[in-house]
Amino acid sequence: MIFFLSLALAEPLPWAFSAGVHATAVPAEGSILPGFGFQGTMNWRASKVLWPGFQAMIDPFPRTTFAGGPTVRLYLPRSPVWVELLGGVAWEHNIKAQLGGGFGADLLLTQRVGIRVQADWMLLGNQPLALVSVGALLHSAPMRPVEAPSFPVPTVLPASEPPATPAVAPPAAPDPAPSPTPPALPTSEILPAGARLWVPHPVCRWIDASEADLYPGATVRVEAPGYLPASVTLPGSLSLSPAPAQGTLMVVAWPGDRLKVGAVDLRPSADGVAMLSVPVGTIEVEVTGGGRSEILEAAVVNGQATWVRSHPPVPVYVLFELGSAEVGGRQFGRLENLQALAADWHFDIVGSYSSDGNLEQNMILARARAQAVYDLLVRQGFPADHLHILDPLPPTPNTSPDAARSARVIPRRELP
Amino acid sequence: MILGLLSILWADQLRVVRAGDTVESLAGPSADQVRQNNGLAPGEQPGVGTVLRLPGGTDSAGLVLSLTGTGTLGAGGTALVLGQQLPPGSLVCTGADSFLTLRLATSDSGGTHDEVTLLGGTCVSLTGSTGLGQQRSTLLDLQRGYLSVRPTLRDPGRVAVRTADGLTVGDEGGFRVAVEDAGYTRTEALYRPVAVIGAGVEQPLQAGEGARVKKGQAPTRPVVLPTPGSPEAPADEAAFRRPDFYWRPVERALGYRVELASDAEFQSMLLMRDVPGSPWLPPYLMLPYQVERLYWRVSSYDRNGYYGVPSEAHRLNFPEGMRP
Repeated sequence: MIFFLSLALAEPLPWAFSAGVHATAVPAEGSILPGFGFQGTMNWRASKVLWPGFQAMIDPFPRTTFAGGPTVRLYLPRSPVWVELLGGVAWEHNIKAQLGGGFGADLLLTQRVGIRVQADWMLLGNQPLALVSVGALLHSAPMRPVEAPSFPVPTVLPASEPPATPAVAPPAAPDPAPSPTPPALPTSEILPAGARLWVPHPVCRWIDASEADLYPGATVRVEAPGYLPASVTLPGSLSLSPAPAQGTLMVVAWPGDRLKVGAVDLRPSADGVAMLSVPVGTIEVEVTGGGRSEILEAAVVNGQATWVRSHPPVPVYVLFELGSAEVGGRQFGRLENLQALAADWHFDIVGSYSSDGNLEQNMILARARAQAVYDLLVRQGFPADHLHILDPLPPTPNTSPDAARSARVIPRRELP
Repeated sequence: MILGLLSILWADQLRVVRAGDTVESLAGPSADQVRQNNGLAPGEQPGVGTVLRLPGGTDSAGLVLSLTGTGTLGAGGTALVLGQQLPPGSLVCTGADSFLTLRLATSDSGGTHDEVTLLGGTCVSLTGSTGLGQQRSTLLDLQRGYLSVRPTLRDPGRVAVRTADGLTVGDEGGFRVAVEDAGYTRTEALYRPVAVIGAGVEQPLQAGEGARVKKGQAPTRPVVLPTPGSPEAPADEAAFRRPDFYWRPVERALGYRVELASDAEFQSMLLMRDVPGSPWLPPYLMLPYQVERLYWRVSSYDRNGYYGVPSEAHRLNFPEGMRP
C-alpha cells in the first residue's frame, strides 16, 4: 500500500486507489475451499476508459498466498462498470504465474470517495480461484458521480432548439418532492457540439464539451469558431450565440473632421475617432476637414475591429509678391478650396518674412500678410473664431524664397 | 496493450550533453548501456551538444494553446486547431503573420509545463518531450523562423532548441532563437541564462545577452542586448480607441518592435511590427474584438540585429460598444 501511495504522489496523472477485503472459493478434490484475504489496487487514468495499474493481495486462509502484478481496467463509456485483466505472479509455497480477469463497479459516494465491488476469476499456476471483493475507493481528482444504468436518462436540449438567448443555466436545484426513482444527476449540455472548454488552474487545459462533467464546480470559458465566447459553471448548460457577420470600423481622423459612410454623415468624438458596426465587406469612408478630403477604403471582417487612419491635413501656403501684403487673385482658389474643405477645424495663420532688409519692417509685413489672409477668409464666410493669427516666425536657412514671402494657414491638430 | 503502456511509462528521454557532462554523470550505473544505445564505444565520452537517449523518461505530448492566423501539422499541411494534441515528432509550421503558442511536456492532470511561441513563417519539429513535473525535458528542431520560450515561473524544465547551426539550451525558458537568412542562428537570453552550443563549444549567456552560431563554428562572444523603450501611450488601462503608439526611445536602437497580445504573458500574440521609431501610427490595423483585453509592449533592436528584452506591458481595454 505504501508503495502504491508513493507512486501516486510521485506521478501527476489522476489516480484511483482502492483497498478492501475479499472472499475466495478454490475448487479442490470435488469440493470448494472457502477463504478470505485483503487486496489493494492502484490505477492511473490514461484516458476516459483506460486505467492501467497494479494490484496486490494477501490471503491468509485457506493457504497463505501473496499475489501481485499489473492490471488494465476498461470502463464502459459513461458508466461506473468496468472489466479488467490481471497478470503477475503469486507465491504459495512456491512462485507461480497469475492470470485472470473480472468485472466490477465503482459507486461514488462523493466526488472522490466511493465503494468498489468486483468479481474475478483467476488462475494461480494451474489452480483456479474465484474472488468476490468489496472495498473503499479514493480518487485523486474529483470525479463525476456516474449514473446507475437503471437511472432515467437526463433530458438534454435538442440541437435544433437552442435557447433564445445565451444564458447560463443555474445549477439544478434539489427537487423537494419525493420521487419514485432516484433523481438524475446533473449533466452539462454545451452547444455547439464542437465547442472547446478552457478549464482554469490547476487543470489548465482545453477539453471537449463531452468531457465537461469531469470537472464539476469549475467555471470554464467556452469558445467555438463563429460564436461569441461565454463562460459557464459546470455542470451547466450553455448555448453559444452565433457571432453576427459584422465587424467594427474605427475611423481614426481628427476632432474637426466630418465623415461620410455610405449615406450616413458622422462626426468623430473628441479624440477624432468614429466607431461604427458595419456588415462585412469592403467599405469606403469619406473624410473631410482641415482643407483636405480623402476616401479611405477598409475591409471589414467578421468579429474583427478594423482601424483605418486618415492622413492629417497639411498647411496651405498663400504666396505674396515681393514687399506686398495683398492677396493675389491666383491665391483665391486655394483659399476657397481650404474653406470648402475646412469642416470644423481651427486654423493658425502665420505670416513669413525673409532675412533680407529691415527686421522690424519685415515683421510688420509678415503680420499684414497674415491679417490679409484672415480678412479674406472671414469675408468669404469663414467663422472668425476658427481663425487665429500668430506672431511671425523668423526665417530659417532652409526657408525657400517663396515660403519667406507667404502666409501659412495651418490646421490645428489638437487631441485631448 | 500492456507493452504499449510500458513503452509510454518507460520511454527514452533526450538529453543534451553540456560542458562537464559525462555519460557516467548523466546515466549513472546505466552508463555502459547508454553508450551502447547511443553508438558510443566503451569509455567514449560524447561531445558537447550531443543529444543522448537516456532511459527513464516519460513521453509527454504538446498541445496548441493559442493560434492567431494559420498553423499546420506535418508535411501534409493539416490545419491546426485550438487544443490539438501534438505527439512527439510532430512538425508544426505557422503561416505568414501568424502566431502559435504550444504547450510542451503536458499531462492529463495539468501541472507544470513549458510554452513556446512560434512567430510567422516558422517551422519546428517537436522531436522529443519527456518527463513530467520537474523532470521535463524537450528537444525542438527549429527548421526556419523564430520562436520564443516563455520563462518558467516554477519547477524549471529544460528546453533545447536545435538548428542546423547549433543548439540553445535553457533550464528555465525565457529565451528566443531565430534562424537567420545569412546562415546563422541567433539566440537572445531575455530573462534567464542559457547556453549556446556550436562545434562542440558551449557559450553561456546571462539574461540580457545574445550570441550567434554558424554551422561548424563555435558561438560568438556574448553581446549585451539593447534595452527596451518605455511605453507612454496608449497608457496603461486606457480605452483603446486611437492606435497611436508612443514610447520613450533608447540609445543604440536601430528600430523597435511593437507587440500586441490578448494576454499579459504574450502567449496569445495578435500583432507584431518592426518600426523605425516612436511614434508608430499604423494606417491600418485589424484586431479581434472578442478578446477580453489587449496588451502592448515594445522592444528595440540594434544595428547587429539583436532584439532586446521587451518593456513592461500596458493593458488596454476595448471601448464600450465595440462588440455587437
